[in-house]
Amino acid sequence: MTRDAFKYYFRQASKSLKKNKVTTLASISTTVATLFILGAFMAFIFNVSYMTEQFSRGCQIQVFIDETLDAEQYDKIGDKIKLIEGVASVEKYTKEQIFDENVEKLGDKAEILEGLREDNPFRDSYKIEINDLELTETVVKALEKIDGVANTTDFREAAGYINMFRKTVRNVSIWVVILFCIITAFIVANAVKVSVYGRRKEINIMKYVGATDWFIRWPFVVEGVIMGIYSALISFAVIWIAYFFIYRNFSFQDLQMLPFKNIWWMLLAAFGAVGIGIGAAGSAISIRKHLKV
Amino acid sequence: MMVCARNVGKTYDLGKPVLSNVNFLIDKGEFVFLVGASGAGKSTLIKMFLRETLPTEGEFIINDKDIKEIEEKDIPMFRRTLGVVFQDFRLLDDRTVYENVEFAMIIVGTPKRIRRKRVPEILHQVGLADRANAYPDQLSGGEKQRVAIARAIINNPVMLVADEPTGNLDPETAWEIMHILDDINKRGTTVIVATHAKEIVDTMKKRVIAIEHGNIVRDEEKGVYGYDS
Ligand SMILES: Nc1ncnc2c1ncn2[C@@H]1O[C@H](COP(=O)(O)OP(=O)(O)O)[C@@H](O)[C@H]1O
Ligand SMILES: [Mg+2]
Repeated sequence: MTRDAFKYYFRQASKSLKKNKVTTLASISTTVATLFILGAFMAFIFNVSYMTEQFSRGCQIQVFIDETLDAEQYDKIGDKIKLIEGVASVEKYTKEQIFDENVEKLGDKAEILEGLREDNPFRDSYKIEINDLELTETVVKALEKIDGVANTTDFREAAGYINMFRKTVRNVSIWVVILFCIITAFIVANAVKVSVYGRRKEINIMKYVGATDWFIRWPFVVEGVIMGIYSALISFAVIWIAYFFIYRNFSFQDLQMLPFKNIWWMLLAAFGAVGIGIGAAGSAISIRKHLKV
Repeated sequence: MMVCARNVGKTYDLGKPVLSNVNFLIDKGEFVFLVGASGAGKSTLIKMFLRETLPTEGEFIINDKDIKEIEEKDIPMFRRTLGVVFQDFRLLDDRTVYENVEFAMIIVGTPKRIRRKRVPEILHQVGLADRANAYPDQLSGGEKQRVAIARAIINNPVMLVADEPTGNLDPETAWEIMHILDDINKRGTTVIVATHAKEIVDTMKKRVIAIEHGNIVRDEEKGVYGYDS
């Protein structure tokens, strides 16, 4: 494609877009809506992952050691735990520490416990942090295989729910987005159809002068792509603003939302790709159906 | 470019024949009038020159090639060797005279540098040098047809085909248009004109192929329109 030809396609496409304002606006606004939904899902999924990570950082597995073991064996178990894949850190948490913690928790009523200090009813333990909440299950299984481990407490259930939630959201959003993309492509196709009809005379003349089929088709492809680009930019601006307000007002326990600067490029790339894809698909549909060259 | 029709017949689906047993030979550089009453089959024949329609019988040969053998994908290249002018001008209303003519050069991929030189030349040739920036609705019928002719010849076609080019024009303007076509022919382009304009045909003394009900009834050098018009 020569630069001259490209300029021509671009000029024709812009002219059509301006001439058929109503269909252009309809296409751009539905594409913006679709991209906004896509962006909202993406932002939501990114944030669920991000928050799950924060949450799992606070989620420790506690491993209790058989009370019959001596101090040396207690240490050895710690070494074994460190070798388990997915374990980020291991910290000793002795029965004395547990006792003190409970004394502190009870406050005024601590005397009840004080009598038991010499005959500490708690077990020595380790507090373990893992890299990824999804690994909880396997890490716990590995821990339970270690000799001398009496029992563990963990967040397997919570982790399972969060994972399931994350996957469900992802799957639902993929289908919703695909559906919206298809609908939008047809709305774009309609806009391109209108401009094909608006330029029937020109196409007819072009054929007599010896225009190739693609020379006739290109302006319509460019038209769809331009609509896609505009839609991507507009929806990016909209989601930026929306994100800004949600970010500012977000408060849930002490979890943090992802800063926009961490996700803007993924959103923009997705909007660009999907927007242009919808535009190109829309014009392709119309060209096939309505442009008999 | 040489055109040869050999036993050409055309029947639109299931109708009666629109053309039958048409034979002629047109040499490079000729000027030919195609005359006949409305419905005689002139436009159908003109469409064969453009490979817009194919004969259902016989052969229509342009430059040693049966138009049936020109594949769809080769039509654009084939059309670039032709210029075509219609009764209804077919100009783009949203473009100036200059742009309407330049359009034909853009389509075939001529660089701007050349277009800028060539378009004014052609506009001058058809007598529209001072109307370059006008829009079609600011032009008279004759001027519109000059624009169409300029567009048709800007890519230097070997043959110019015109289907009733003066059909929408008053006699005086029709004459001007015919003179331009004659001038183009004198510069070497083969010119085929389907027309109703009896007076012009009679005066210009060109080759005349007369069609009646799809048959060639007369083909003569320096001919006249005939009795019935
Ligand atoms: N596409 C078509 N389908 C069916 N009949 C047609 C078609 N085009 C032309 N005809 C018929 O062919 C005959 C000749 O038409 P045409 O070639 O346009 O004649 P002319 O140009 O001499 O007036 C007419 O009877 C017309 O109705
Ligand atoms: Mg006709």
